Amino acid sequence: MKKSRKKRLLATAVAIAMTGGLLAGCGKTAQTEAGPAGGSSSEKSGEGDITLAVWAWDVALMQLKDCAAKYQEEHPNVKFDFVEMGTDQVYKKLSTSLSTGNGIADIIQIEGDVITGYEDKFPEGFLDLSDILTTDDFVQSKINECVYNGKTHAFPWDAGPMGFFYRTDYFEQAGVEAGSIKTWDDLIEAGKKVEAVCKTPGGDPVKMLPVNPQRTNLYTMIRNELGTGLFDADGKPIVNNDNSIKAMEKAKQIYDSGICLDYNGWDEYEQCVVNESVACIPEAVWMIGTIKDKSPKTEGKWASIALPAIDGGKYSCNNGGSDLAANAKTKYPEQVKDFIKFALTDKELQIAGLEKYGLYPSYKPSYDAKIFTAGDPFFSGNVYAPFVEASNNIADIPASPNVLEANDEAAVSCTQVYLNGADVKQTFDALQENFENKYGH
Amino acid sequence: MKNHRKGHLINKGNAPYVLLAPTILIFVLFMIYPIIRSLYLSFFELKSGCYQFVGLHNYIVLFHDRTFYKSLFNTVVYLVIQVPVMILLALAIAVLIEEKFLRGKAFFRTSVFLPSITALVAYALVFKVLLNGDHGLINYVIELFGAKGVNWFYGEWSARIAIIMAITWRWTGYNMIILLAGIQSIPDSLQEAARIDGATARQRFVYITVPMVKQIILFCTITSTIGTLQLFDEPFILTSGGPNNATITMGEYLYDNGFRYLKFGYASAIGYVMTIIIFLLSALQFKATAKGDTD
Repeated sequence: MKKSRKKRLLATAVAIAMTGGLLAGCGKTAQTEAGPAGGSSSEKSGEGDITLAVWAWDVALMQLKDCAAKYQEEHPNVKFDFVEMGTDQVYKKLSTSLSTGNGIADIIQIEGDVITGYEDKFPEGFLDLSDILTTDDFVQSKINECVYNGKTHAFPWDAGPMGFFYRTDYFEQAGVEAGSIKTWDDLIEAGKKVEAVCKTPGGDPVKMLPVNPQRTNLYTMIRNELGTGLFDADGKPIVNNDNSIKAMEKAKQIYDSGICLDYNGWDEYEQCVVNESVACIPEAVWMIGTIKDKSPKTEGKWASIALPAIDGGKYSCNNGGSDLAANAKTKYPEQVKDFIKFALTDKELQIAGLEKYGLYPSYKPSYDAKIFTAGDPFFSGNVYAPFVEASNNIADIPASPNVLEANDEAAVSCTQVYLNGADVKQTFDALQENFENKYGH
Repeated sequence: MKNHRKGHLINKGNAPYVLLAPTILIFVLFMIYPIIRSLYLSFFELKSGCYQFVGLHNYIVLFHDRTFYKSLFNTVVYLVIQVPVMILLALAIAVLIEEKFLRGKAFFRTSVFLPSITALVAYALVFKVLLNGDHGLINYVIELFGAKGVNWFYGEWSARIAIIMAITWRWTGYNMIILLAGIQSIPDSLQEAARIDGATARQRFVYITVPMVKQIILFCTITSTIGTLQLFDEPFILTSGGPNNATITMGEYLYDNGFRYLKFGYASAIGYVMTIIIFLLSALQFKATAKGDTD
């Protein structure tokens, strides 16, 4: 008797918990839809001081603080609560709390390559910024990050057009003319000369370029030059198409030629600059900041040109850069929008951000500023020139919510090709099959 | 209920339940509910902000997912190699520390235990530096002996060995302390009697110490097995699962799916498969030792 009653109790408890779960499943959506409207109408006309919470990291946070100081000159009633949050922390919080909007800042910095994933999973999470964004004013690849399914879920900030940094002193010693490096094949030839002649301050032979054989960077770069992403415009995986195979074959050829220096993780990447162990770095424009910061003694020894090309490749690439998103449940949507627009379209602030922190604007009207023709005194020549050109020629690669996971999987395939000598075609056919299993339906 | 006096909210009949209620409530809220909720979630997937029922789809994809199989394989490798090595090592150290001839027991006990109180992330980062291919201390020592340094994080097996070294360093002390407590609870008279009968140290270890702490060895084995199956921090920080997913564990793959790719349903399905595996292994271990007892 007693036992059966206990059992019944347990069964009831389980049933209640289950129904709770079921109800919680989609009930939230209905609630969230009503959220922003309700929130804004009640608080919009709030008199007196308001405080906007901002999450960002590193130099971006410093830049936003500068923006806030200037903004407050006109809007003394708006206070800011800046919190330094690393990418890991931001994403962890977003993935657990974005569906409710509780415990999330009003304004959030998010990297461009992950933001579509959040927008896809939580379409009610971010405030629609369509009314403050003039898409023609921004670099196309940033617009692709910020607009998804017809909604503007973020405001484009810094771009990462890619170029090719090289050490003028090493090139001179080896008798390599930077202008002669037009293709990746030219790079391999030049790399052999550099390694034969140049020595690092530590006494080791200088390698041509750093490559992480466990990541996709080099492959992605070459594939983007060919104008192809991991997915086509319909979201169908296309990793075993001709361009993708061609890019990986070239990446493998470069890696196998022995001109590369292996690195694993960001710390070791920076070490390449600090130890002066590489002659070149194909990287986004933000690398300027890292080079200046980590290796001040190499002042005057770095210059930049356009990325080496692959036959048939007519595009440039973009790597990284962040955007600003706003919490849809913010109490002050109007002020949030107003500040974001101010911070990211004020030409003076954009240029100051580039000068001080290396944040390369994606706001095209700022490109007529003097700095883009004058360059940076740390570098020989106008370091910005190749990047300005690149930013106008970035392939229009469709955003996909699955790109983060797909890129991790592609990295495994790259590892197999680089380190285990696997056949490119076979490896990428298997990858395609795997993608179709996961995203195909 | 009718038999009890009116007017008292709490009476003899319901008092235990009332007193237990806070614990049960917390238990249900934080233990039972997530368990049921994640089972429920494993049949759903988050699409456009709403959970949609997908039936067994997550499980079907999972059984075709080569990364999952690789993570399962890696976990088994850690389990089969690391757990026995660590338990034997812990037992050996515990026995040594209990030996009469040893001076400064407290010092040794503390030093062996110390790794288990270091922060996971801190120690993983230290290992990352120690194992660095070009300027790591471990390769320096290897090269001192004339051998060639190992590029730890670039080879599949060397990366696995690196992880195994790290977790063994971290967890041996913890198991050693538990085993030590067990060894200390063996009555001295047993060891003494054996000694008088002329048993060697090896015989005393095999016929007295080990049988007497068998239950504790079982406990250590089960907790270590579960710990290994849930392994996350070390591969996450040392190798981020690479190279070629050679060190990715089920725990790390679950994390990636849940919190990086935002596939909560799929992550829940992985969690459930993990739970079933842990349950089966623990049951097997219990059974194996229970059998030993009746013999």
